[in-house]
Amino acid sequence: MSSTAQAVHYEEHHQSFFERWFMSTNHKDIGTLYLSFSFLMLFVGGSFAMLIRAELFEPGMQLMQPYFFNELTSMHGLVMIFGVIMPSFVGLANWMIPMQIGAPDMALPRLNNLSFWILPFAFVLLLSTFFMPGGAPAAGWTMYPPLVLQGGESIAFMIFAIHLMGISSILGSINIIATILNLRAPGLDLLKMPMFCWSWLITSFLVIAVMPVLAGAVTMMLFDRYFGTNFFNAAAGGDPVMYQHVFWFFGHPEVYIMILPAFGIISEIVPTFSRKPLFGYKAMVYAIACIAFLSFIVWSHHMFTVGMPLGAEVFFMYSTMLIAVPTGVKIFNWVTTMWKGSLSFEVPMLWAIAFIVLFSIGGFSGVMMALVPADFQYNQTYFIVAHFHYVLVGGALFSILGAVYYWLPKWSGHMYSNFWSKLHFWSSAISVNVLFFPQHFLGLAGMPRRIPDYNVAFADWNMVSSIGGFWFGVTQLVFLGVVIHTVFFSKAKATSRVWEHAYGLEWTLPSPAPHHSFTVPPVVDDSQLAHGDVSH
Amino acid sequence: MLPRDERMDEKAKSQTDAAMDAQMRRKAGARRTAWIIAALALAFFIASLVQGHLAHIPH
Repeated sequence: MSSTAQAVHYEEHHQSFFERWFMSTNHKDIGTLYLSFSFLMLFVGGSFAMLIRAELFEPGMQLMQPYFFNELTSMHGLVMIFGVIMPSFVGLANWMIPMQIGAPDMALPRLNNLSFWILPFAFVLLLSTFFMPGGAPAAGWTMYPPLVLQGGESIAFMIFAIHLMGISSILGSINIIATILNLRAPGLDLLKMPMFCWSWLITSFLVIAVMPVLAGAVTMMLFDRYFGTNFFNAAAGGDPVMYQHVFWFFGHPEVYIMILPAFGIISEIVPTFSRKPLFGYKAMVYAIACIAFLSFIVWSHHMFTVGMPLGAEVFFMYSTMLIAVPTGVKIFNWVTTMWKGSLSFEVPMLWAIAFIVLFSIGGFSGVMMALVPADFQYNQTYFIVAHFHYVLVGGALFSILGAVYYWLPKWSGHMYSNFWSKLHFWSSAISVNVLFFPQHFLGLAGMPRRIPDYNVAFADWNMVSSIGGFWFGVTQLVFLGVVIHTVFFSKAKATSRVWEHAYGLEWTLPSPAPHHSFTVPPVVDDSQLAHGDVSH
Repeated sequence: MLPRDERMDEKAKSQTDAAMDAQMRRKAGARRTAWIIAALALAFFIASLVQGHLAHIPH
């Protein structure tokens, strides 16, 4: 395959520090900004989690007032969802989508810059609420009225921050859709696209559909608080449960927004280290589309105990069970890709295998909770907390870490230390289970969630969970060290292809990838693509 | 004087120029796509605000 890409490295392209980082229109630099921001937020949200686990280490209140504990749990959720997981995936999309489709940059480079820079502003607003009279929002990341309306002045800041984060996501998704549909290199058909691009194309449509709905929900909340409306005030004819319906109509697709790009990443990594093409490429594409469609009709499974009619509860139970089917197809296809493959266990593959195992554990508890009468026991207990942390930490976060280890040599031009990266993996993989598996037991034993103190009967597993939490938190410092060393100090050079069996247009570029790549569209050769030959 | 045959003087398009033209057309298409998707997002926002009046969800 011949590439007519002009290699323009940064050294030839003179920009001041301010121009390069604050006025960037380069997808690689904006990707770096998103990833750096989300890494910083990981430590912010993670520090909230460390404080939470420190308070829950033993029964009784040792460290903080109960209201502050509520602030920490609420802000931990908001920061991790909107500040870590979502921006990380957008950062990976920014870095990789143009390179994977042979485009010179995203379709709308200046909009791309705006999409990023909204986020630090939004999070300064959100985090500043800790220092306001009344404190940070303390009604949970779900912000249910009427409780949330009893907060202090932080509610306005929280709503404004949520609006800004939503705008950032929507603008980013517009950019991704426009890029994928219009800027693919000639010859790169949709059904030859990398799975990561497919996952982001579908995720972007989900974002467009549901982030405005969140905006609608918090706008109605703002009006109730400040302008005398009664959308959610039962005494005046409104309905607080309507908020839950509108919120979770956003909220359930949101969790799929946080996992579909992860599925795309795993579909990139597993074939490379199995030295086999992805099993059932078309089925994988259709499964993602099915999951996205079904995600719109399951939202009330977050509300089974709210008093809905039986018919509604049964409908949502069946639809929730149904969504496990295309998800199962994907799990089976990853395993089948590895079956009789020539496996090697480099660091990205370790993260991918851990994802498959841990996400499946989270999925099992999800299917358990889909059953309405069972969920009457599990709802609002630590069983739920265990479930979503398995799918979000063991699932989404592990896929992000795997993606960074997979593509960091391409971005930086250097290989990382095998020892420290494997230490990071094994320490994370073990500690995350010590942290979250006991929470299944706590939930089944009846421990409610979002409580700062608990019955002494729950003490032992809480202590185990907290030890796992501290261990997991400290381990992420190893990752910080690995990334800094790789980018700035490592002498080990990476080749263009980096991984022996990696296929895709991004691996035809040198490592590090030049500041501007594919300025002239490449000539696409099917043999260089992972899915060029769709007959397999 | 004979009229000039402008076609003989016209610079032939190179392959690179043709590729760049195609890219400019794709970028214009991308901008059109972006506006369509933005309109869709706005529609969902408005729909979420009026949904309470359109669909009565029993509770």
